[in-house]
Amino acid sequence: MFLSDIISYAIGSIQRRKVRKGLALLGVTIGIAAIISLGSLSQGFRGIVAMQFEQGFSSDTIILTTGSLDFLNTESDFELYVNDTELIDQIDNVSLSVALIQKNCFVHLGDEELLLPVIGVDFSRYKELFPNTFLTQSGSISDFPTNNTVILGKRVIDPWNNGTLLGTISDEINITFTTRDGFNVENKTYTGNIEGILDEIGGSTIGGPTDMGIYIPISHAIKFFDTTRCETILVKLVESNEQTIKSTSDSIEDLFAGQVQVVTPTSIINAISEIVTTIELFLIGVSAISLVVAGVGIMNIMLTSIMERTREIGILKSIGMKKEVVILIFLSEALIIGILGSIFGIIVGGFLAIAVDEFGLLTGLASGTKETFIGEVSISPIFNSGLLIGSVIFGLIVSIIFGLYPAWRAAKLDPVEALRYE
Amino acid sequence: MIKKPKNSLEVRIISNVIEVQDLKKVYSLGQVKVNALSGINMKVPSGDFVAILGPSGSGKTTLLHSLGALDKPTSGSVLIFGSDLALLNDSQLTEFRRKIGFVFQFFNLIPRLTALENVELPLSIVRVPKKVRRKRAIKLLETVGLGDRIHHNPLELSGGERQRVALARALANKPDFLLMDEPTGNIDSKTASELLEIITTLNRENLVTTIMVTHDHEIAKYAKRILHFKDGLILKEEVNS
Repeated sequence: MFLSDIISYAIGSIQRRKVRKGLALLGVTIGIAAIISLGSLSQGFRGIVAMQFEQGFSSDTIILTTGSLDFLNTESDFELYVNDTELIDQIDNVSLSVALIQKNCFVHLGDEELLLPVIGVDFSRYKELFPNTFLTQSGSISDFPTNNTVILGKRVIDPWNNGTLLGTISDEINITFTTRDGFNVENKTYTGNIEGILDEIGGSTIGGPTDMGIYIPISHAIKFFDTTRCETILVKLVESNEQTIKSTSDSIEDLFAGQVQVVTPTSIINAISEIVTTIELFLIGVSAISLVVAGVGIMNIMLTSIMERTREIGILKSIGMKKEVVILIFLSEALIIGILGSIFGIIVGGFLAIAVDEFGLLTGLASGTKETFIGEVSISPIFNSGLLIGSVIFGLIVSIIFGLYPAWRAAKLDPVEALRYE
Repeated sequence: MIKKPKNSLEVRIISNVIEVQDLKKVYSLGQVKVNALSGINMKVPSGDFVAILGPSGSGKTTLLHSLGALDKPTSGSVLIFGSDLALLNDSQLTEFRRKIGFVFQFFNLIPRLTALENVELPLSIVRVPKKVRRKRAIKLLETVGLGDRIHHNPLELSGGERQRVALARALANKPDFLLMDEPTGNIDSKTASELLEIITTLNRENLVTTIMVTHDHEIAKYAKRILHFKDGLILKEEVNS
């Protein structure tokens, strides 16, 4: 029998049982749609995470911290100081380093009082490190700031993101830092002068500028917070190849006797990718299960159909149809359901993912990341060919596997028995 | 069709289309063994028209299935053009069936296909190109007098018409012989005699070797020979004048 005849015969019998075969098809459609929509959204999520990092960081920047990035390791008691940058600057391949003093302070701006991170940093060096994000929308960042100079992140001045501004350039801002010495709790307050407001950044990175940040000159931070201890030192290298990053990180670790953590942007991206991959696998796993359920549906319907068509199979065999051809006919019925289901699944899944994005159904999840270092994100689905081809192949494999047994059952029917079947 | 036997030292001319030697078939129905065929010997020369006449349950259909390579006998042999069916595997048996035209009591047409498509089916199984098989199927349906009903489904046809479609289908691959299992069992006597006219004409003019199973004496009279069949045995042979 020609393949075209086999296929048209299979299509003919699918058309005969439209409702039932339609339901099997719906099952595959749902499975594929789930894979496509969840897969494309999680790929979109991954893309955004990667993008956030690339925006904030060039890969030639490494981060030095005493804290630990994971939850398992004990944090070191070792302390970093602002003038450690002088030592670090002398290491080979280091182009510059920036120390960050970060304290959470109550900030009085307009009529609002907010608890926000206040970050002391060397403006000119910070600018050099983050030329794309440490940029003002209004005002300017002076290389020689006065003690009162304050640079605000976009969200500080516009906290609700609706244009209700709490202040503007050259307004005053009160910053209150609370210390305690025994039972003596002391509030220290100073009045700064807003000299610059940053462009909206969107995301944030460890040590990088954020929309929620308040930036003051490092020299003033040392005086105001009365410490030279810093939490983070960012180090820019002369080049970004892996060898340089590795050897420089090693030199820095040696310098501080291994008591500091050197974090490279790649390692952060990798760590996050790993998490995203896990989530992705979980989601795809869940949708794969639904596809397997659809496969069982195909098998069920094919088996029922074989019971009903026992006589037909007997006729086909009695007029000389070979076993292999009988298998092919029933297999192509399952395959046609699989192919159509995959096509519909891609369309439905695509629409679903786009709808989720359009109607902002995921904004809850996305804005949930606002307070984290990932920053606020919006997730748009990404459809890559791998996902599309992969899900179609999976859909076909499922329909073949679950179509194979019924087809084999049909082919091995004894023609005499089959003809006698009522 | 003459075939050389495998042993080339012994050359013999085979003139019989079918040769049955001591054919036995035993069924097991639970504990009980049923002898459906208890030693059949028969020869059918080319161009013959044989009726196997016997009451229902006498094993006629089992014999027909054995001749049609559908059923394997318990012992004995069925030689078709000298080849023993018992020596053939499943796939070879299937190919054999393609050269056998089967007509069943219950028509056994595929209900979702039209008359034309039903007749085309055996042709498409042996990979006859679409145009050729369409032409041939139309011609066959015209031969059995259904030229105007080719696009009807079996459900839209009368019993006699369905059986004529089945006959056309059986003839599609120019079979070596026709096997008919109670072809008139489900149609009225007028339609039955029309059908048998067609069959006798085919036998007379196209020399189509035909074996027909029936329980009806009137129907059996159309054949050249009648084999009286009872309890799995051929009791006597009667030649029609």
